[in-house]
Amino acid sequence: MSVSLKVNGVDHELDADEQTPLLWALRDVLGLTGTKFGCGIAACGACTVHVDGKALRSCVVPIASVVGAEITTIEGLSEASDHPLQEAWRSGEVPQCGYCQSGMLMAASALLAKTPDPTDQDIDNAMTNICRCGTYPRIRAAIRQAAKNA
Amino acid sequence: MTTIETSRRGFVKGAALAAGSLVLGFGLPAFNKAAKAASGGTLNAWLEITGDGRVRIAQPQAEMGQGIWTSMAQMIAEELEVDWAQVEIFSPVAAPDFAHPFYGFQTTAESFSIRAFWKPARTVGAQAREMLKMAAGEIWGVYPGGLQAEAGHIVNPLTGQKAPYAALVVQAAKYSPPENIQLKRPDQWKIIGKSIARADTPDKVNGSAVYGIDVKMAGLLTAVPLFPPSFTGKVKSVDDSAALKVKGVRQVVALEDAVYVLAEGYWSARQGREALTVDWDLGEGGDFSTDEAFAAFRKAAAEGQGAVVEERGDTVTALAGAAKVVDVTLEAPYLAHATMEPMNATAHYTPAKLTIWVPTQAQGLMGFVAGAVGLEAGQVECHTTFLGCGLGRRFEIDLPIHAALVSKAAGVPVKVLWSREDDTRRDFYRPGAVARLRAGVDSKGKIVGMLADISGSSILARAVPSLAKGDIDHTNVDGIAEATTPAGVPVHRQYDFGATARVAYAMVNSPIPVGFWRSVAHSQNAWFMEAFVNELAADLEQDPVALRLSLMKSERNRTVLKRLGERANWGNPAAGNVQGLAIHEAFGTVLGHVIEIAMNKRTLKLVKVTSVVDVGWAVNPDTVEAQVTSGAITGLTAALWGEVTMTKGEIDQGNFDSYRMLKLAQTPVFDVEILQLGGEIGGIGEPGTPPVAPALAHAVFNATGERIRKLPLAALGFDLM
Ligand code: FES
Ligand code: FES
Repeated sequence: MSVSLKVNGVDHELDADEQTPLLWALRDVLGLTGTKFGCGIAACGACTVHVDGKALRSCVVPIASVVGAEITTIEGLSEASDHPLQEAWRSGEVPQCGYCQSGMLMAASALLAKTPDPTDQDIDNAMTNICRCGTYPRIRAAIRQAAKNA
Repeated sequence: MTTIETSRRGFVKGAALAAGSLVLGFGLPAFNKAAKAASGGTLNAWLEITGDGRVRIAQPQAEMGQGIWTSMAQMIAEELEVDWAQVEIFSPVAAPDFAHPFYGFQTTAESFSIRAFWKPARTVGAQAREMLKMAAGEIWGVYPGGLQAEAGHIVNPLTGQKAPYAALVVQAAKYSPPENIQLKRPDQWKIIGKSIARADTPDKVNGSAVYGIDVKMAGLLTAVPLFPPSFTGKVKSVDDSAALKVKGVRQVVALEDAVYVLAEGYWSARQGREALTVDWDLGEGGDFSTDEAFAAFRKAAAEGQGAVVEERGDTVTALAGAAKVVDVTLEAPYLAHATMEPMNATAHYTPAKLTIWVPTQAQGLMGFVAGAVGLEAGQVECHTTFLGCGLGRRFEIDLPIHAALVSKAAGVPVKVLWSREDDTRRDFYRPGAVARLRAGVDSKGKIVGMLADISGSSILARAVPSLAKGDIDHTNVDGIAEATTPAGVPVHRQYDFGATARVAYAMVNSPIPVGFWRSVAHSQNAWFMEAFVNELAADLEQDPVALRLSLMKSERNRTVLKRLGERANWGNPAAGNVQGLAIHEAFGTVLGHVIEIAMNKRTLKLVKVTSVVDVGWAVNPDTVEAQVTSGAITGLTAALWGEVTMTKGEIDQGNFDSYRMLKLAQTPVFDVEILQLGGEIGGIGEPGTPPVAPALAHAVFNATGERIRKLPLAALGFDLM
């Protein structure tokens, strides 16, 4: 079976079952390993990508449902790692183990695209991903910083 | 830039050095005859200077978020006298050169990297610097003692001659490292003590950092396990006919205690696993439950059945004659690690060699993995990736062993990848435990003794039996007893409870596997001791800070506690809030938290955590701050929801829906003060965790009047706002 996906602006024909979750198509078929597996049940957000600009948890999204959509992964968030959030993540030294951070950045960038100057409440509502290292205080600070710089 | 070494790079291994040697455990310099002086070269296993002046530092400690890549390199670069901008860090192939100075094998555990390498890492930098001076002296025909090292160059201050390290390294590598080098004084430090930007951060914000789960190579298959329902279970028979028909599935490999489905990619392997039919033998103890374990712990603690760890004076008589005895029994549940990156390991077995790529805290144990597939310890090559959390789980070598066995059976390179449910259900859990603590008070209010009866399962009886000599495992008593165990391990308690003290431990092992969980002993023992001291203060109607100041043995601990009280405005929370407090000494560090909460019936809001810590010296203060916060959040998650239970041999929890984690919206504000009192340097990866549970329980007591003697709070009907 062949499924066509547009990821980070590039069209791909995938030889994969239509029910394959987008996460595994990205990681195992396209080799885009920046998107992470954490739970497989939409509970942690490590696998967050953008589908037509919206943050989605790719571990529960069958590829058949995103044919024709614009899919963006962490690898496509910016040209040169220079999205304002990536800058803020670096200057704020947000990551610890870093494993959740792709998902965090994708969730935060979807938030800022819609709400350029988010309140604390907006951040609370949008940032529901799990970080086992507990980088939450720095994530909040970095989102505020990026909103200020943008 | 961060890299993972992809081959041995021709590093010449040093002369065999005794494990535990502090200074020269770093291998002797390599002598690379072929290298041209101007094109840089390898100085030893730790250092390479490239032709364009980059200083490549091998960093063998597991980077699991604690910032060790950077702080370890800071220590070396400080003495080497290089600009930080020249420094490049890489993860070397595991080698005996990188043995941990204390443990004698390459490992990252017990918040023991900076502490153990504090002198050795600086010494390797200083030795390299002196060898570079010797090289310049020889080339220029001058006495090297008069030369200076500055920003990656050796300079002759008399003549103005100047040579970059890259031009000297080949000559320098010919010398033996000089001994007895004077290390720089703290007031001379330019890199140590600075919040240098972490070297691993850039790759962690664009998806390019490579974790174990990301390892790629030609022909690699993903292997997903099906486990027996109980830990004691074994495979009886397998019907894989349906599994092998699933698209992408290539093979099914049955091990003794798991059946792996191998496929092109995880999803196909998962589908294959769904289609497997396996008949299991549940094994002896296959219907065990945590309730049975706790019944045994409670009985042993209540009856004082344990082996005596500490005995000072006649505590039993002292308590019998006391005017009042405070008698508290506390319980700590089993906990899973839940590393953010699900457990995985990649192995490629050939009859000549086993190659593994693994997010591990224990490279030095990979010889055992080779042994499991019939190879010699020297036939394994271990590549360390980044770790998506370690938390102690990645000290275990069960995954690498499975990967090696499956690769050998399948004849292809294999990545073993567990699901979140597999991870939660096949863990080595933080041991459940019960502690009965008593203190006697005479008629004048003076404490006359402390009696502790602890019971729980032993980690070391499984992992390192020689350290559980006399049925005493120090990880069950550290923080509560002041003694040396029969195996020779010192344990410490920060308080002196008067003239008598007695601590006993009753080892009760069960089919529930237990292991090292962030802060190990201290994760439950600080909860026991600090919750007990808070109850003692309440019963004696004393201020918890004042009582602790009167009991603490060390001025250092009193300094941290006093500062914590001031910083947190102890006793004066914001209107509507209540506070709780705890302080603990572990891993060479003293750390206290005041947790401020707001309470509405049984719903609580975490408002603020104020922390004061003394680490002696902070190599990278920003990292220290991050670790205090991180450790505290691990502790909050555990105190609120952490509990693993087993019913009839099966673990009841699975994914994050049944094993909850704190989220951003629930996270309090943090305020961390780092003291650098200048004594011995302390560890920081774990000390933030232990005082959290007792401080939070104290706050809940102060809000409700309810004595909190069991965790998690959720099991007592409390929840977060
Ligand atoms: S892996 Fe998709 S939400 Fe956790
Ligand atoms: S940085 Fe480790 S899980 Fe978030």
